[in-house]
Amino acid sequence: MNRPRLRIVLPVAVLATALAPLLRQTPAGAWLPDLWLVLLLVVVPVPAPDSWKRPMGFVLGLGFLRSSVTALSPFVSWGGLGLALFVRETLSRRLSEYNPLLRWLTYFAAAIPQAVLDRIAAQALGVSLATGDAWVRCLLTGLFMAILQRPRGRLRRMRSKQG
Amino acid sequence: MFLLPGAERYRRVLLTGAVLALICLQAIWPWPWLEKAVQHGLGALQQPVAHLAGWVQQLVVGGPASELGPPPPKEESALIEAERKQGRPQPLPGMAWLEVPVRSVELERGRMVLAAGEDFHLASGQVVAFAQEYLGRLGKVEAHQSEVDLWSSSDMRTGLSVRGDHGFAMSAVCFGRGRGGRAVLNWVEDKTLLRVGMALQWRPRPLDPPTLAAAGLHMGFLEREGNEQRGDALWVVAHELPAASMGRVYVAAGAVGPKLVAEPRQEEASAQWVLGMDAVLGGAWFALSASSSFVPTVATFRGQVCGEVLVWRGAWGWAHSLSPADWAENAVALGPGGRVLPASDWQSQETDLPLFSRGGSSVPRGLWLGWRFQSAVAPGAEMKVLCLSLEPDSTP
Repeated sequence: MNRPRLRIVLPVAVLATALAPLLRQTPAGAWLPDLWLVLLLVVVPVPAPDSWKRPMGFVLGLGFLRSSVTALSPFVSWGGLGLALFVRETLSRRLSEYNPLLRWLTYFAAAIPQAVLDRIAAQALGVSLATGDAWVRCLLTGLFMAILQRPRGRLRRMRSKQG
Repeated sequence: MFLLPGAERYRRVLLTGAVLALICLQAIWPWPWLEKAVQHGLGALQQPVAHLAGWVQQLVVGGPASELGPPPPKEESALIEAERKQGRPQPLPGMAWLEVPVRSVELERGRMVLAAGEDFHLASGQVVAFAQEYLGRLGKVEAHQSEVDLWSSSDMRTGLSVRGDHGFAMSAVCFGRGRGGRAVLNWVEDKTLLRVGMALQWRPRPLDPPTLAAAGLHMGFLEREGNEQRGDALWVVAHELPAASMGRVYVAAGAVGPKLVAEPRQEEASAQWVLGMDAVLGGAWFALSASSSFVPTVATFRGQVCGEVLVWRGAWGWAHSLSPADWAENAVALGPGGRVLPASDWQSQETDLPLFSRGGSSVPRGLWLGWRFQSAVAPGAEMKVLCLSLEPDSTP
């Protein structure tokens, strides 16, 4: 599967950043998956390339954009996004991507470190983030990514190439 | 597809993992120097992105409130007036009471930090009072600030007089226990004469000015603590630090400088609304920009506090919008008769009371927070940011 090019990813990321505060204010906004996390998981392939330069570039860039519209430190954003890639990479090498439940579990687990770091950083600022909201956010991230990253298209392309 | 040998791949994975671990450590236990450098370094680049998000918000849900509206409330200086009215001790012949604002109160360490020092001609050992209450003595005096060693602080020995009926008085000494408990009376002329509820007055040292003895500074009342039958009962001093004394105190001085009132300098700058909500923490946060040379701590809109600035990135930052009641321990109320009530008192009452900032941690005291049951003030397009400066006001 061809990964989106930078000239597409960058405007999409900036647009997502501009809209993110508004989306968070919608009635179910607190449950919405983190837009930068979703973008990162989409643009970095599984398994990750041997060189981590490009994925880490995405982590730094998206983390920078994320921290532009939040009071949380850039380190929290970078840490959350970087750990998400790390967790996904580790689990995707061990769990089958053809099983939707395992695929969901992989992305659900990948979203947890960011939720934890956000919560710790928010507590340091004297604010508490609702635990329930964080869980739902992780569950929905897993669900959304499990649907989005279905390997069916990839299989079909491989078969057509072989045929 | 070319694959790297296993060792090379593991080396890269380990290297990336180590960098990531360091980033996570910094996120959880921030190293202040690095945090500040990165926040300030990236702040200038992040500001246009935040402005873009703010512009989108203005297009979709509308911008912040303008300056137009009902006139600002007049309660801004009411707390300071009440403190002055309550706090000034009786005049003494040949002595003056210098009014000094309190920068912070550290009850854990049993000390108060005052916003004036050698610049206001303060010296170690001077007596500090509020109304007729004895608070302690000046300890360490620096150029622009000084510390009051509270008499109730740990291991502090203070002489006092136990006052009974019909003008009866006897000398005693108490020592403070800090947060460990109330000060204990460890020496008294005649223990058999002690009764619960006896008034305790501060007793000057031999080298103190004699006129101070006439001030009649109060320390508290006598109480019994512990179990008599087990033999661990103690005579203790029942005392509470007046809430208004956390704003300003009075220092006894025989010789004074040109001014009798020291006012801390309050840095102020105009600020502009940038973004009305946080993409992770929610709607109780807003971003604002200001071209100030100081790091602001509070944002106000039309004379009322609209947020506490918690993150500052060079020329802009993030403020947390709080309702007056959410300030909790950091707010004091002006009760009936102009009494200043600490959080524990105003929270136990059902009435709507005017709340003011308690001050400390660079937040100026006496800022108008609003009425207790009022909701949080929405930030406006044009705001002000404030900070309490370390150096006092040099204007005459």
